[in-house]
Amino acid sequence: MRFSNTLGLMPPLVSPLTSMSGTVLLWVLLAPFLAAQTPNGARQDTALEPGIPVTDPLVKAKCGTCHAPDERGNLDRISWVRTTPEGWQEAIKKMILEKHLELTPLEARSIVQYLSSRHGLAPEEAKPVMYYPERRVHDEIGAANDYPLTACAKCHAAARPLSWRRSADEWKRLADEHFAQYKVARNETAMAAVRKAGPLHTPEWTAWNARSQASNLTGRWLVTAHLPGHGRYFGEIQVERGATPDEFNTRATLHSINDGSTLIRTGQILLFGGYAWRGRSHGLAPSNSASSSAHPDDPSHDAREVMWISPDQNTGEGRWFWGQYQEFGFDVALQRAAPGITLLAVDRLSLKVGAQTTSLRIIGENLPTDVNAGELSFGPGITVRRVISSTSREVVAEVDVSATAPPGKRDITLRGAVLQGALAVYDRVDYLKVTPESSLAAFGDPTYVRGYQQFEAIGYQRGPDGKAHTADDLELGPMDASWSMQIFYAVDASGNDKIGNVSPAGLLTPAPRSPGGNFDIWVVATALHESNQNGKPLVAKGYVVVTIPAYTFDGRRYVRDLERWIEEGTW
Amino acid sequence: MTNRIGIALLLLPAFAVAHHGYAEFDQKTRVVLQGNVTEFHYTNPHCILDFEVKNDKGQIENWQGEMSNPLHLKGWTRTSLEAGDSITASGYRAKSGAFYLWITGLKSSKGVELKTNGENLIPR
Repeated sequence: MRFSNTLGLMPPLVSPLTSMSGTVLLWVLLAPFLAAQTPNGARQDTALEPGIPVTDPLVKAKCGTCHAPDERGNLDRISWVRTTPEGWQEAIKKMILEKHLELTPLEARSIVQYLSSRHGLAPEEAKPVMYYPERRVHDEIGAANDYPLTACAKCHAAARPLSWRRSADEWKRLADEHFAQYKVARNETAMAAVRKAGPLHTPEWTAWNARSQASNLTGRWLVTAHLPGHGRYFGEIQVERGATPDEFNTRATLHSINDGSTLIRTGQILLFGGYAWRGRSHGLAPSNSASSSAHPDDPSHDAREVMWISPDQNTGEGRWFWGQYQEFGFDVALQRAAPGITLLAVDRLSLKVGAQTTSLRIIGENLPTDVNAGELSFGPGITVRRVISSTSREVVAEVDVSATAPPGKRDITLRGAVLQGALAVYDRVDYLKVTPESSLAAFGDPTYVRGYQQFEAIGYQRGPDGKAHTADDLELGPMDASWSMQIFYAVDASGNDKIGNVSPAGLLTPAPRSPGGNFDIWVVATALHESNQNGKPLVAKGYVVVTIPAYTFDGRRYVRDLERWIEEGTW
Repeated sequence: MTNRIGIALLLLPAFAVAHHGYAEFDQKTRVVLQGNVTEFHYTNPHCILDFEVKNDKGQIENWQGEMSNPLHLKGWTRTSLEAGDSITASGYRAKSGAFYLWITGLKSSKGVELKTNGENLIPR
């Protein structure tokens, strides 16, 4: 899908929705402005639930013509809902497309900024649903077992309603709109659940309102990141002020732990509500990597950035992503650079009991250059033989792991600095898990590019309960594996070519031309070095639906997005 | 197919019945199989059951069974079926001849049961 960004609500491609001006969502399930205002602006539930007054002159001028104000400064409907920047952006797009609201890009951006700040979510409210704006493949099976949300999740992600806070009356109006527009049956159980999960007024919001202040992200941040298929990175980001107080410019330097290559990315971000980092960046060609811009998974690819900055403004986490349906992306963690010793990463994620003279590289900031073996600890059962080298950025040590070392996670400590849970000690790899466990990809066609999927084979030890596939299992990190594919129903591999192929690095590349139907397949990982107790290689598989990129039904053309099909040119 | 089908990454169970049809299965012949679970995939858009069946010649056949999605398997968890559980599964086999079953009924040695209810599978 390729759409221009004429609304200009955020920096280009800041959110998945930003790129869809003119062509937007097939159905809007959250439409805070959908119904007409009451004649005098009064609301039935005003006395029951106070609204959030709108004070911004531009919002009052642009929205107040339809959303009638009351004597308390409330605007009809707007004052009784709160949501994320993406939620407000979507609402405004709907107003533009359906209600013919006219805004310049700067006006739209200003309105989203104001509403995201004054009618937004507290950081604690936003964090549980960050996977939604981060466009992650996220398993909401837990939500599925929470029966009330299944009524919502039958058509869209549970994160969608959970990204909103509404008065009881607004939740009711939303349900009424669903009933009228989508013929969704009324479900009082679901309504009770969303009212409970997303009330307008919450302690978190009250506290955040009292606490929030103008955020200043400027300065140097330390970064750790993981790009599936490419491994882990560490480095830094320099953040500088942009043209306005909510704009920042970034320059990130990332070093691959796997191959030592260096990646430089520059970008621009907007900060919403004091903590919602939304931006876009692009990489310069890696200095010494085999990557090429022709590769869809190139780490230097243009990317959108969605980050959650902690309320104390000292850490952040999120995803920088790209692709047909945002299938590629760095998982990123930030922390402000500090004067003392900071441990960032270690080059191995796991060590087997009994391993001898294993070299470990500890990466950090302000590391002492005179480290001795006694100062470096990897926890019980791991002995530091010697420190091979130490600089201010890394310490290389040689360690032995006792044959009787208890399996489990280990912290690394150095002169009071701690890297928690950095290493896993294990006795054997009990099983593999292919990640993502279930996912999708898309065939290409003359109009739409393919949607890929990158897989990894993660090793696990059975954990303290001695039972595999339980919550206490010990994750050991990616394992070397060979990759193959199996088509459901197929008796052999003769038809694999029409679906696509899986690279030795676990990248599924669907066929460039759609065969005209959806295919369910397994992407299968076979461990190169790890075997089960019968001596056979460990095997695991991930479930993929490889879909057609678009279809026409009843005279309408639909194109695929991560979560749903979108009708071209309509909501 | 309606204009409300969706992709089941973010829990869109409608996708489970919409992303493919069932023409691949021989729906004229109901098959009943007894076997042992080797792996249970509690995933979208279908829960998948891998199980072994000993055939008339005493040989082991590795079957795969396709069920509904977690949303419809109300009350189920990842461990509702586990490796080693013995099961009786009924449904319709893939026309291709692959050891692949569209499971419409199932009972396990642990007492887990599926029964069809319209298009959904609801455990009892």
